[in-house]
Amino acid sequence: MKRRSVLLLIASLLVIAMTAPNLGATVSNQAIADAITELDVQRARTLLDKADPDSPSLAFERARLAVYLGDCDSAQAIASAPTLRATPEGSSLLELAKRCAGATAGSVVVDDVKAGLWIRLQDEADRALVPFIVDVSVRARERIGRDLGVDLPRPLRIDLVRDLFSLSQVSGLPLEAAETTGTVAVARWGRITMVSPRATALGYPWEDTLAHEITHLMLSRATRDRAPLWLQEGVAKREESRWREPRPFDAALDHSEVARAALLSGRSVGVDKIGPSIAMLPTPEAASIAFSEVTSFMNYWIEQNGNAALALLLRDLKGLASEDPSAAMRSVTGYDLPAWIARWQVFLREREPNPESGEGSVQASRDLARRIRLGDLAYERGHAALAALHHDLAAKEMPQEPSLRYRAARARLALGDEAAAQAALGEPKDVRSLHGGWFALHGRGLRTEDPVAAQRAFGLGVSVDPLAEDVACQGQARRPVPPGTAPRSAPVPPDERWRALCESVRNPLAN
Amino acid sequence: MDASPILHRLASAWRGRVGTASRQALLALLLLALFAGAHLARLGTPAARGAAAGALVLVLLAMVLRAIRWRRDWLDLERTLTRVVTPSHPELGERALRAARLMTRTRARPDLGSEELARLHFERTLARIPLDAVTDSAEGRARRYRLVTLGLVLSALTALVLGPLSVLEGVNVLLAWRGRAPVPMPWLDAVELTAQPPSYLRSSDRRLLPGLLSRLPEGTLLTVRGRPLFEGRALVLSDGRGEVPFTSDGAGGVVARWTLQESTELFVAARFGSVLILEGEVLPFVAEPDGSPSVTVEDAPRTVELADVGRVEIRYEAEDDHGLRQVDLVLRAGDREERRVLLRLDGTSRNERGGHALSPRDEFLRRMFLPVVVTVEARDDDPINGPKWGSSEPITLIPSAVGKPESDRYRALAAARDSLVDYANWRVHEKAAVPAEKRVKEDKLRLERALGEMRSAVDEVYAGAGVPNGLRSFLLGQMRVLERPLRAGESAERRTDDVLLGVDAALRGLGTRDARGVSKRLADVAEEAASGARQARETEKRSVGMARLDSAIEALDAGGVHLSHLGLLGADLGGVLAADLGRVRRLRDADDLFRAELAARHLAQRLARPNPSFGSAAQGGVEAGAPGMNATSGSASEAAQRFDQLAGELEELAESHASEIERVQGALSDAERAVELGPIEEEAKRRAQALREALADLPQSGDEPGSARASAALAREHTGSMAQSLERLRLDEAVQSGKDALSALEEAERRAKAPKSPADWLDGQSLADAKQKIREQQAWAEKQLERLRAEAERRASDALRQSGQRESELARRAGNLASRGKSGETALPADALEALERAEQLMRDASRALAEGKGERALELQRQAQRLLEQSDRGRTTDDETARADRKDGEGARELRTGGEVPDKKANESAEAFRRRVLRGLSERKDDKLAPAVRRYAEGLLQ
Repeated sequence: MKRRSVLLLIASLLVIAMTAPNLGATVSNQAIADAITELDVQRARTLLDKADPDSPSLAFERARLAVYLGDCDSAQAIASAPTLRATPEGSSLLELAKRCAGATAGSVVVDDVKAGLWIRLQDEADRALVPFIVDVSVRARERIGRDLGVDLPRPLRIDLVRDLFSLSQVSGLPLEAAETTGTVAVARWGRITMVSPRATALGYPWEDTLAHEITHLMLSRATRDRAPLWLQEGVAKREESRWREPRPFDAALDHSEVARAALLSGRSVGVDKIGPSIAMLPTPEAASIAFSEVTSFMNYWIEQNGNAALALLLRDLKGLASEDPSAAMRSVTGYDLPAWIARWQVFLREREPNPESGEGSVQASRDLARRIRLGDLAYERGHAALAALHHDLAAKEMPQEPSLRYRAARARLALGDEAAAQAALGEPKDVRSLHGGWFALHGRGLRTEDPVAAQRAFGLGVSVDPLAEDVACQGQARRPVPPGTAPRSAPVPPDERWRALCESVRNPLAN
Repeated sequence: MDASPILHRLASAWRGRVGTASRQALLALLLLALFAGAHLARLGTPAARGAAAGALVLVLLAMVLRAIRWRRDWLDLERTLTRVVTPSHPELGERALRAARLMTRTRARPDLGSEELARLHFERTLARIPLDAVTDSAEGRARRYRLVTLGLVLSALTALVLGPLSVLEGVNVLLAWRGRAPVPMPWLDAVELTAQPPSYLRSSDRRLLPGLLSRLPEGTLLTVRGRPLFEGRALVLSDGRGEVPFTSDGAGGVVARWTLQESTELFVAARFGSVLILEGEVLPFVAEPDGSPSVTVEDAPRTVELADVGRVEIRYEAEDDHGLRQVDLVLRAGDREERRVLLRLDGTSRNERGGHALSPRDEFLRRMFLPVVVTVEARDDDPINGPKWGSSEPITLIPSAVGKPESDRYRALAAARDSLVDYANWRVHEKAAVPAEKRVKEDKLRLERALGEMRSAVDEVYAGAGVPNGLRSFLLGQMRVLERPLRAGESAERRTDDVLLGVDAALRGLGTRDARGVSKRLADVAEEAASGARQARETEKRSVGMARLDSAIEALDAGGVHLSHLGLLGADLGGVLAADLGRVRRLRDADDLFRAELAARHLAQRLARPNPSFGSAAQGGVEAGAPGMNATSGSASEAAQRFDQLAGELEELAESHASEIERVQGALSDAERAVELGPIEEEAKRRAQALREALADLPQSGDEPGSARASAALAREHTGSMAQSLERLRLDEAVQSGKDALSALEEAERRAKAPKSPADWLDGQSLADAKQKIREQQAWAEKQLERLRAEAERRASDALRQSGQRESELARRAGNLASRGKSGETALPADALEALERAEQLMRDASRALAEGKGERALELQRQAQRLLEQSDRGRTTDDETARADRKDGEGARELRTGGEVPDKKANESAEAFRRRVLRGLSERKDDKLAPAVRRYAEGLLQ
């Protein structure tokens, strides 16, 4: 009996000795994966350095870490190993790394150590945008971090790509989905991949988009990527404009009104029915409704429970063993997700309709479209008087449309009539949305009277359409001249970063 | 030897008898060895030849040894005594030997005694030997030798008698050196030599004179026949390296066949083992190899800048010594190659001439950015060594930068549009400043300037790219709107704006389409850059790869600039290209070819998907901010879409009308088939016979082409066809053949009246008689045909009436389209509108004819109308240069493609060649379904 006990003890010790390293490895793998997910790449690196370099299970994490670092070449090399390639996740990672390597090879990298930013520019011509991106990123990171109680590790990595095709290649988002919904940025793989404003004809609110994506990264870090999509998008949408001073038209789109209208009309997507990504919803309209629904829902939830509850919810999600967020919600508020959705829907139904809210999309009438195009043709040909005639008529037909007022104003400027230009432009209260050119010319008008307001106006212009010449050059774009007339020179802004931006727009080939 | 006379006498007696006999025996043995050895050696094997030679050598050696021995013995005193005396008197022989030794000793040592005494003693001893005894002994031995000799001689004679020729052959074989006997021998009698050239040459067999040098095509099959002079010989035909055996031809002779692969000398030989005995006469041949075809291209080599030409004409002549199989046009650029078959031949033609025109818009050329080397290559039909290609000198085409033609075209049209903007501006802002009396004139002048710019822009060819027909038609239609007088209440400004916006919308559409096309072609260039980078990185041809990469980068750079000019999409894609090309260039400069390849492939994939950078959305997106904030988009003009709608309806009308023509044809054909022709069958046969009799005096074909006799022979052929058609009651064909025959006879008469060669000599009277007879039968056939058609029309009257109603409806549709095409957004160009209006009138006439039951007349009118309808259908503004033909192909291919290039009438040679090709094509196409379309097409061409 005694001998048997001794043998049993020896056997137990052997078993423990044999399994101990594996247990250690398992813990180590999870720790590495968590460190990467939480964007703590430094810790992930340290853990990987200590781990067995030949371990196939760690190869995946090494490749993942390389993608998080933006080093797609290394990720491709690691994921090419046959053992890793043979697994579905390894094969998928390899495909992503390959596409990413093609899209980023030879890109220009700006590593701003002081600001804690690493920006990779696919199009070198976007270099002039970097100071503006740095400014927005630093401010948004600080403010949103404070809101959510999250500190993002440095550097924050941003890939500025030239088009949706490259966005898809770098982020892995299906191209068709991005094209259908008009996705402009993705926070994935520990980085922000954002389409350059030059990809769109009229720009887009890239500053708020950047803040939106920074929020996603923070939420991923805060919850170890366990935040459900509605929470991710709802909070990101809430935070995208809270990092800065309020701007005109922030309230132009009432998300709760859009959600209410969708709920009542049966077009509602559903907070918990978004699927894997809003970008993968079937139509831009569905994506727009989904954004409004999750924004309205999260605003309602935070209003009801306070900011502290949000911080608590994030911490609970991080500690959750399961993927179900309902449990965390119940533990924080006493109600689970379906209950909160039901309460929110009651809130929406009981809400007074807001007739002033709209999606802002305007379809021009045939006659208006004729005027706009005739005016554009005349303006581009240097017939500013004819352009002014058409654009004045167009602006009269739709006086709140800033793009029409801007057109009328620039035609006046081409005629050399500054006062008439400002009159045509009107005041911010006269227009219904943010338009880069409009605010640039508005800033031009304010330069002498109120330089601070002028700078604010220029900043608003840059926030949506930084590469329009009037915006980049603070309302001093070169104006077309009639055929046979010598072109006029146009001044450049005195500020260094504005001057660089203006010159890059005027001489795109100089890069 | 200091022999005594006695001994000499004794030795002579011995040698005289035994020596001769033994020598004869050896000679007989030699003879036997030779004859028997020859038989043995004839086997030809090395062993047999060795044995025979060995025997001969042994005998000869024996003879030599014998001679040596005899010479030695007769010089030595003691050996002489031993051979001569001892056999007959052994005791005396011993004494004599002792005496001889004593004599030898005393000579060497005088102290032993007197030499004279010793000599004397020796002489006396010899004197005691009787000569007779020695003679007898010698005689006995000689006798034995003679018996042996006799036996050997008999044996040798036996060997000779058994096969004297074999002995000669054997000796010949025995003396062979390196497998060949030294002495030639005749083996064949009555030798015949024929040559059969390879079948692909289609030449007849030739008889050759043996011994004379013959030049024959490689692969010729030579046949050697003869009667063997000796039986049982293994005869072969050989060139010294290979051989083929002669086999019996079943008629007492032998035959061997030899395929001539190279110049050689053949000979007939008999094989004995490993030895050949050759005939004296050799058969020398020179094999003439099938040469590669030679191809010449007019003005080659030369270099052509594609941007400077509208087309590249390539006139070639291909020749081959035996026959051509195929002629290809080969285009090569970098490592890409495209072959286009110009001609496929049956291998009988040795000389072919032809021409081909390459358009700078050719799909291959449009894709290329490297110089394209164009050659014409011809292939022969050599099955022996495999087909061989001959190539012409190259024409090097320097392509325009990718996108340059589109960019030039877009910019020219944009400039023309801008001139309309100028005109609109003048009307609104500048006109008022002009004195009232000059306004009309000035307005006209300014309008003319704008119209002129547009017209020259649409007529211009931009490095081979013209303005597509549909767009051209739209733009010219819009210009016509500006030209026409104002209608009551119509605003000139509004009209100008409408036209300007219509032109602008069409131009933007063109820009977008061209940007997509150019982008896709640039994707190929980016792919080439990636391949170049890979080649430079992975292969030993680094410099080649780098050159490919550099030239592709250069082409992308230039192409990107042109792409940027192509409207909004072009500018967007051009920006993408510039960004990615910057990455490729940076990596190339850093010699990071791996990443350069990755970046280039990324660019290629992007350009191959020429969507806007931001997909279908004009403005970004839903991720943040308010979507669609400044959307004031909307269509400023739908003129182009409406024009396209009109073009679509016109196309549909043309198709419907073509179907209606087929229905009328079908109704008439059915009715004609239903008419009973039995009553005239016998009469028709009789008349067919009469026609054939009328042919008797006309010459058969085979005379010099273009002569009177050749024309008369042609008339004979047509008349034969007419007779046959009459017999089969195909009256329309009979009438047509009759017309053709009469026409040929008239041609013959004309030539016969002014003869230029004996082939023009013809009896005018016989021609006149033939014409008269043909006219008689033709008149009868026409009358019957008329009756047949009248009857058919009567029978088909119901169907024709229904068709008439449909034709009337189609005419109404044509009228509606014509009125829509007169003005506004759907204005057609003047000539298209005129064609449509004429078509409408003809359709109305056809409708009336159909209602009256005049089927044939209606059909004629319908065909004319159809041709005009097709002339007025110029396609849509969205068509590119090939889209319309492709669309028609895809929609059931009811019509022939009309996208081919028709040479200008002024280009006499090419126009004539084109005409010939068309006519040949028409003569070959007998497809009922296509026939009307082909005919209309041809009619259009001839006009």
